Amino acid sequence: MAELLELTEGVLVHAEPGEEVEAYAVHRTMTTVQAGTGGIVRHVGRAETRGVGVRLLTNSRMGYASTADLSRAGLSATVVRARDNAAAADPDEAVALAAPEPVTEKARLWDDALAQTSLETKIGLATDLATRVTTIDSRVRSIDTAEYYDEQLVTAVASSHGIRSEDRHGYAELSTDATGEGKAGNVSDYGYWFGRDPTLIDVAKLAEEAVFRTVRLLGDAVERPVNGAVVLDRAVVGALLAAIGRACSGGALASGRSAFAGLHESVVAASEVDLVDDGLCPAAPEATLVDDEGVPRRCTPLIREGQLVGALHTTTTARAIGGNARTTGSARRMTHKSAPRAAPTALMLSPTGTLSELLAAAGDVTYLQQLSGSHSGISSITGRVDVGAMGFRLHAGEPAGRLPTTPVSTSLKAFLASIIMVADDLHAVPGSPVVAPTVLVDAGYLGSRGLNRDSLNR
Amino acid sequence: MNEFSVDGEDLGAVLGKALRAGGHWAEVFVERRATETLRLAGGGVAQIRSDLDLGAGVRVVTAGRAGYAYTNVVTRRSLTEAAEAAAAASGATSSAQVGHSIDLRQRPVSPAQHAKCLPAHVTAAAKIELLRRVDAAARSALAHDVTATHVDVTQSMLVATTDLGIARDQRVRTRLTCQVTARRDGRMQTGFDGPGIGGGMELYDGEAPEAIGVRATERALRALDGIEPPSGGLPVVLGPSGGGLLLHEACGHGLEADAINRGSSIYAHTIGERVGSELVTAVDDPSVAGGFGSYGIDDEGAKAVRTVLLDRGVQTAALSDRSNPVAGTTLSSANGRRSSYAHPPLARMSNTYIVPGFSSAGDLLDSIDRGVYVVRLRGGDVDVTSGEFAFTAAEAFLIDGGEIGPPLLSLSLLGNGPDALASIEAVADDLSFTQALCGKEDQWVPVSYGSPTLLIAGLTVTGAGSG
Repeated sequence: MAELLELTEGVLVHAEPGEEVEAYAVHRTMTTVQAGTGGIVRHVGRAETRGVGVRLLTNSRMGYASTADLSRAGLSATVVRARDNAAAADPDEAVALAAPEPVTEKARLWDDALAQTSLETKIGLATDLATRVTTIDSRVRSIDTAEYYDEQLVTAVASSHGIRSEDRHGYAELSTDATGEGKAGNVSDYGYWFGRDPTLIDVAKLAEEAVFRTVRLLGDAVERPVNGAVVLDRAVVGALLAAIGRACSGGALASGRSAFAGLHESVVAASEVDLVDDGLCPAAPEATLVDDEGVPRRCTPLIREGQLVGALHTTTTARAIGGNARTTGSARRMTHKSAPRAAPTALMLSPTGTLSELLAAAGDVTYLQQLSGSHSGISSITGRVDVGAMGFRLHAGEPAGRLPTTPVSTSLKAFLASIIMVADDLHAVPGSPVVAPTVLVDAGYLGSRGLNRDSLNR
Repeated sequence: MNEFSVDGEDLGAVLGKALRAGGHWAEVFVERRATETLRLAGGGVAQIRSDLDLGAGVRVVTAGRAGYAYTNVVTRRSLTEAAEAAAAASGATSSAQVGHSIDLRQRPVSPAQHAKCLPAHVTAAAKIELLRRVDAAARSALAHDVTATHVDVTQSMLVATTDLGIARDQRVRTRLTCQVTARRDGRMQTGFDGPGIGGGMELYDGEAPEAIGVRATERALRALDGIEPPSGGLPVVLGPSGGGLLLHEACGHGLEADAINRGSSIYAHTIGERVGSELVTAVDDPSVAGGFGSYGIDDEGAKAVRTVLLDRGVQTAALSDRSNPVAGTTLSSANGRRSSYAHPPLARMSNTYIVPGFSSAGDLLDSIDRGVYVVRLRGGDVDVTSGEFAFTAAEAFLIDGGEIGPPLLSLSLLGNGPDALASIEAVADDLSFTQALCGKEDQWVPVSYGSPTLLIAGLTVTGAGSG
């Protein structure tokens, strides 16, 4: 780690008088194993990359450049490119580098077991999972891919404002899809495990999860229940919360490109709803002790008792918003190639009951498990939700038949306003900054175009 | 080869190491990529970003299993270490040596992307000036929130393979996007335009930058006047952009050979069968000069070729890479692509389109009494296993009595890939392409998709109005 911090400090010496410079360095090590049906290993990948990104401010103008060439000459050239870019930029009084803050919170985001786990063990996890999935239910005879993935990251930030931060975290994921064969065609769903120590993975349980989620989408088509309530699976909740998180980011709010712009301290959800973004959540892949401009991460309340109370900020977006806004330690970068922006790490709704209580309260209802079209059909800017939903009828807590694809045409605010109950079954959602629960909502969530109408695509 | 800091001798040594470790064949992919991103937002420069990336990936393949390792330190030593790691990951053992010879002849390649004006020869200030012209043209009383972004990518790559020699390609692509947010009476809508080419700054020669800003604003303003869309099963006329995305998502991904070979695609067992209307002939062609998804060779070194996927509705081929060859052969259709040296290649689309028919777009609209005209789709998802899809319209109008009626608010189209292809009742003659980045397994590659205007008998439209 010390080596990486020295590297970033080495960038600062290239600053000229009057310039503020920040260097962000990353050293990432990854392993990927993919296996197909029958446990046949198709691909094993191992990789190690390093890179540096430089932000340079002069006269309130910011330029950014990045490189994978970590030689002294390469770093010097990168500072020159950042300087050239700053010279072409417009002045912006909001642009600023972070000020140092002490790290006081603790979170267990690293486990030595990850680095000690052998490649053979990782391959074994993927093949074991791929093999088990097809032995549980006769309707599931194949998978597309079972995948093991892990990532070990060391990052360092140094700036001319005195920031000197280092961070190390790592995580592993094991996942698989399962293809279920039914009379009306094939369906698939997934099982997903996330953690810091791969030796703790219960492969049998994960295989059962993938099969359970898949086969309940099979079966005969049935009528929709009369009950107006709807249970939303954590995958559905994850897609909706991810868009809400984007709408609560400082950049979106400062520019007005947010469904929540101008609604600070307004009621935006049912009174039972509490939503936070926990940057230190051990159950989230992107959690770190410090953010990507060197500020300590923390838990930031966004909605409290239905009222919009917070937003996610970097140093720059907080200045752009003005007033009492301060950085919330929410600076994120995809890689060293991009400047930090405000983004969520682990969005979480506070549970209001257990999963079994929720299912008991639900009764005979629609359970929506998958959304299609969510990438483009959920807008954090306008707040519109126009997607398709796949699910089944849930009766007495058990799947009771496949439902036709349901057109859902509603809004993010309608979702928040219609929440009746939040279960305690929090799970990380793959590829999303959300640790999502199962949620019970009123049918009003689906809008007048939802369940009250038949799906007509068949 | 100096731009990569390794030469043929180095590559021979690295590949030799991979084979000595027991690999059946091996490949080194070396890449140098310069990316410039400039963004104007809220009337000011929001971002100017330069990235220079250099790296190499080594793939070693034994029987059916591939090991992959990459590094961004491009020296003989680090590549040799990557080859050792990849060989170990592939399960190769030195006792299983196959003893292939290594063929490192240089193979000639004709690039499909060529810049008349290299982006690197234009200053950041000049690019910003272009964005200011877009911004100024896009602004109006109701639309003053404008974001204009210029991105150019210049990529040099080489692929050295133990049995196919060395091939090199150069790719340049340039894209301008403009997003406008318009507000009126508490309603907020967005408009977008984003042309791109497989080329350089000549992107701005074909059309004045102002036209792109104006188009984005007009779309946002039209959306402000939108009415609630109808609901239910309706005839849908899809404009060229929408039809291209429908082909790409609802059909193209299912025709990628990895999904077919794993049996997870709805098109896994239908080669030679009719899967669409006989009016539909669909093609993937990475050799199109200047296409956003074009290349001279794919990322495994195979020469770009045109592939007919559907011939008058009959599925004739799949999009293959070396790991997932064309059925019954060891050949690839040259669709092995990767987002960078950090990833192994996957079977991907390039420039995918439906061949134009003989009707006019006006004829298609005239034939509809009540339906929906979707000019453009914003995006969508498809489940390749079931074929179910959902697309969100970026711009749509009601069709009433054969006439284009009022604009519609956001709506989604739900359907099933094969059903939708079979329901195409007319294909117009107005083929055009849209540029995009396509994601698969966390890898993003540039693509284009195209179509003439299509008439589809019935898709499910989400909407609050009466059907």
